[in-house]
Amino acid sequence: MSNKLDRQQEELQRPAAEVLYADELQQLAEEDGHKPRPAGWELTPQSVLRFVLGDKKRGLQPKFVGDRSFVERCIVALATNRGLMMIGEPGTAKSYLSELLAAAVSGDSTLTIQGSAGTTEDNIKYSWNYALLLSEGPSEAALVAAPLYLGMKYGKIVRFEEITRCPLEIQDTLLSIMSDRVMIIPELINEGRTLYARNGFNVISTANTRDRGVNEMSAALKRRFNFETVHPIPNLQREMELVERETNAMLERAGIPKSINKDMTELLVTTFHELRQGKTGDGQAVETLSTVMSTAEAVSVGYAAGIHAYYYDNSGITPDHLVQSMIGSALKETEEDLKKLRHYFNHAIKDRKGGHWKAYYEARRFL
Amino acid sequence: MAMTTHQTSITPEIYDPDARVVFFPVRHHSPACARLIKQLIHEMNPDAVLIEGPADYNAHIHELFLEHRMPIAIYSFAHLEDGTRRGAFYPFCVYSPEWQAIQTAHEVGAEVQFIDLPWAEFAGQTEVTHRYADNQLEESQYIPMLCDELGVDDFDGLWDKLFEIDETLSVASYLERAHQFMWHLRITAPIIREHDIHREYYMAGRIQKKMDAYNGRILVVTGGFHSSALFNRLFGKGEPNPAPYEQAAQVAVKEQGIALTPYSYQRLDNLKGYESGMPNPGFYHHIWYDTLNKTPDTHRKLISMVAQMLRNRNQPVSSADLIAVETTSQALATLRGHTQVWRRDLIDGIISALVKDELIFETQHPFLQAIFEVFRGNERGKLAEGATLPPLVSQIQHLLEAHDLSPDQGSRNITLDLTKAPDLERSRILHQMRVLRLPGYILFAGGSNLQGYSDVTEVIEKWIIGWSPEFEAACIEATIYGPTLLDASKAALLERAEQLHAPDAAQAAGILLDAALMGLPDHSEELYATLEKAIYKDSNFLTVAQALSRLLYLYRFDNVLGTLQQSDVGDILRSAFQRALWLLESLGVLEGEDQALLNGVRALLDTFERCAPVLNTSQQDFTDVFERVSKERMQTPVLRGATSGVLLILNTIDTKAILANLRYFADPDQLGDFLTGLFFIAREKIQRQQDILESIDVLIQGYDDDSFLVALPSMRLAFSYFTPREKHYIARTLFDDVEESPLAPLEISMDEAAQVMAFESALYKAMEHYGIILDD
Repeated sequence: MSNKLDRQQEELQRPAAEVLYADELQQLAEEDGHKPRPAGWELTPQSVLRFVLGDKKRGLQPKFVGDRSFVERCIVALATNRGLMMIGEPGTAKSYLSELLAAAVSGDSTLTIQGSAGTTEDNIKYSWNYALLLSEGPSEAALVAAPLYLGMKYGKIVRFEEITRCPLEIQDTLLSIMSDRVMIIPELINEGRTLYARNGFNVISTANTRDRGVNEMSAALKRRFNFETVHPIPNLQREMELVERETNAMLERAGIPKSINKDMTELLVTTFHELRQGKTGDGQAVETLSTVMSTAEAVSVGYAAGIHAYYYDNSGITPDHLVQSMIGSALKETEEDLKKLRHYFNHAIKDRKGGHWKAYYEARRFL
Repeated sequence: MAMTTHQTSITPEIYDPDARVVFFPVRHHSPACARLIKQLIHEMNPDAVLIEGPADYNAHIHELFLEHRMPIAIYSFAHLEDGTRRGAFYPFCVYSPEWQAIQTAHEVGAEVQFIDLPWAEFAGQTEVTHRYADNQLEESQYIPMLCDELGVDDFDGLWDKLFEIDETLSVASYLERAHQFMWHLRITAPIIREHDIHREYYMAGRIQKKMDAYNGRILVVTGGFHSSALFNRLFGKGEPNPAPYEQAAQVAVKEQGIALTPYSYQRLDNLKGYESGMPNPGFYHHIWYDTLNKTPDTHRKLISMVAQMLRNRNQPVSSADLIAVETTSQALATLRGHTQVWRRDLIDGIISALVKDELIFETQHPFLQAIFEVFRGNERGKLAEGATLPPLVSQIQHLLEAHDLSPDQGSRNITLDLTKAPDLERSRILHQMRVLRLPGYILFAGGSNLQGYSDVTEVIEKWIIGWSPEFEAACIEATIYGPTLLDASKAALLERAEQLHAPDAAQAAGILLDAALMGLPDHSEELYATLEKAIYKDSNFLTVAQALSRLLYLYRFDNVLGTLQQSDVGDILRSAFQRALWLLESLGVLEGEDQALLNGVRALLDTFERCAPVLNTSQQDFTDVFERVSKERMQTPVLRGATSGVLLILNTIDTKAILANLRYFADPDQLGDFLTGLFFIAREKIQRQQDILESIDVLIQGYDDDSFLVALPSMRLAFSYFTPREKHYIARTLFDDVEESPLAPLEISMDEAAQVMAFESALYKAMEHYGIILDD
């Protein structure tokens, strides 16, 4: 990576996946050479898989933690004539996975539509530069392309985040495009009136299941997607590794010379894991919270604890910081959750062995 | 733990297909192994084929050459001195390598022998009773490493990738690859168990004997875990000899036996944990036949089977969906480097292209359920004529004779008093037979048949014992569930529990009750959990109430049945009671289920009256619910009648309110329904409430003939709850001139009487019309 890029990257809060992992993508592309692959793809499906899951032999970092067969299904869906729809609880890394896939398949993860109640067709397809439109009439020069237009034109993956937050009629904009792979621009008379999608174009959508019912999807649109449920990480050990890695990466990027250690990660992730599953490691039942206890939340609690520790106490992260940050960043919903968390401390954590657990139990005074 | 030999690599002689003695390492139930063994036997034409299987079956081995319908199993049982009974299975599918080895060896005229230690000799030392399970293989640390390396999720995927998918794999390359693989698994195994060393020592001895007896070639077919050890004992550096059994550990065998028994894919697929072997027998069944017949594209056939099954269940699957499943599976197979679409590719293809909902952790989506059912297959074995009868049949005969329950030519009735120990024992046997659906034994009163069992103070069951020509065949068929009556009925019951897909509290409670009646203590915890879940998920008042009445029986008579913990039953009774109460309150209008509804209300009342202390519900809370329901305008007359009846019984309603309700339902097509509800619940009390009876009388007297005929059928039902004596008493209350003796029964049917009345009324009308007036 050139120095210029390094510097640019340093200034960014969060560089895109294709920038962050440019050298890995480069390495895989070289290895792939002229091997057969779906038309319009930058890498072979095997390399996309290696990029996402990591590969020790090739020195590729693991980026997403999940079942291999699940990731395989996602990749294959993109190579068919259907789109990929990822559903799951908030914070299960759906968007992150879609970013990784787009970066690996198209070398570009930035063609992103952010779904919301206010999303319009203009945000999805195209709009006009009105000054040019008035002076020259409709022309391709006056057209302002939105992500879907660009994705079709250049044969790239388009990401549609939180699609069910959009009203139904806006979602249905995708219908004809997903099936016929063509966009009609009626304002243009001759040239450019029809935009045919180039090979490599496809759509990855995400939708979280907690918001289901805000806007359902039409059956017609459902038919044009392969659905995949993204589960929280079932394996405690792997979740701990991920949280530790991500938290420390975030702290480092924020220029904070503190890191979360193994013991603190264990406290944090065990709590999240147990409260999510509704039972402790030894099978005791605990009440699940109404707040989503996702891995992403765990990382942000770890991050917040790190900031707290550095700026206010100038110490390492302690159980006190964890509990305080947990209240602020994880328990958003109700008073009830706080009661349940207190109950969890009093029943599940009380008898755990080990110094950090004892200290963690003491920290319940902040609740 | 025993020492393993320290070897850094495997000697090439072990996988030489041209050696005199060829060791063929199998994974049990692998069709690839079966195919290659068949081929190898034809090529090498051995004098003897020696197979890992119980040596004490050799005396009957000719029975395996009969025309059985697969799958079948060799069942071996041992009754140990310390009183434990232990049975083990050696199941064979048509595609089992052992089975194909036996059949092919027989075809080419080679001697077939089982060489494994008889089960009875190590029955006390292992928990694993499926003798062709994979437990030894799956323990190794080598597996996760290799999975990671080859990019597969688990051991099954690994095995498929290495050995199953490539149908062009040759015998020589199989032998080399499998010996390498299995040897690595063995040296990385965390433990080599003492009884396995004993078995290998025994097997080596048997092989040595045959090597001495024959000049020609010998094929040894054993689980891959043992192959290298056997080779080392006979040709290599040797293996440590087994330590002599410690006296304390070795339990003497009192009785042992071995016989064939029918088996099923369902049973094979149900094995979990240590007992499990290769999954998805239905899938490999199709693979076996299609590879044998060189029919390509097994996956298309399977996809269409899944589609058919889904359509039969009214799940919409379009042709476009199936095309998407096919292309997705193909693409996954390509991505994974499979030369044909395989097991996991199909499952993933369906998840990817068909399932449009969130997959919830630990629950099965109906689409996936369909594919797992197709992958499970539904083959059920049947023994050929001439095979020795399986032990269950004779065990049942012994039990019946010992307890004087044998069927005679005619049928007879027996009455069992469950408070007496011998009768309880007999009752349990009969319930076990009932759960196994053995014909000829019918329970007609008592037990879970609650209909004929409402007001009793003693615990009586009445059975009819009759002879059925199907009886013996049914016993043989039931062997599929297990070797003894207790085991088999237990397995049949657990299967029923497993097949409860939709939450149905009534069925779940029925299963728990059956377990208690059968005298099965050990599984109650599991069944409790199922029931608890069903109660909370079931939103049907009728089934929850039915569950409640079953639990009530269990609660009241558990001290007699003596199988469960009274306090546990109390807990679950409380859950069911509260759930049923809640569902009653939020009940919509139910049409055509009047009797079930009434039974449900009765169950709630009975539970409240008999078990109030464990219910944690005050009378006030209880009656509040009924009061609300009895006043609900939209509710049916039957339910409002029944709820009024409950309030009447508990003395929380005054007669005025009932009379008001009565007037509300004065309409002729409603009155009967209301009274049906009222009388069903509060019959005893009503007959002494003169004012209510009189009001009813006034209402009915007020009807003209047509209205009366409309009201008649439901009125008739309502009054049928009273006994003849009670009816007479009511009549006397109303009319002074009724005779002392009860009313004489009508000589014609009710319908005819109604017709006569209708005719009479029409006749009078016509006469009136024409001015004909009779002098009375």
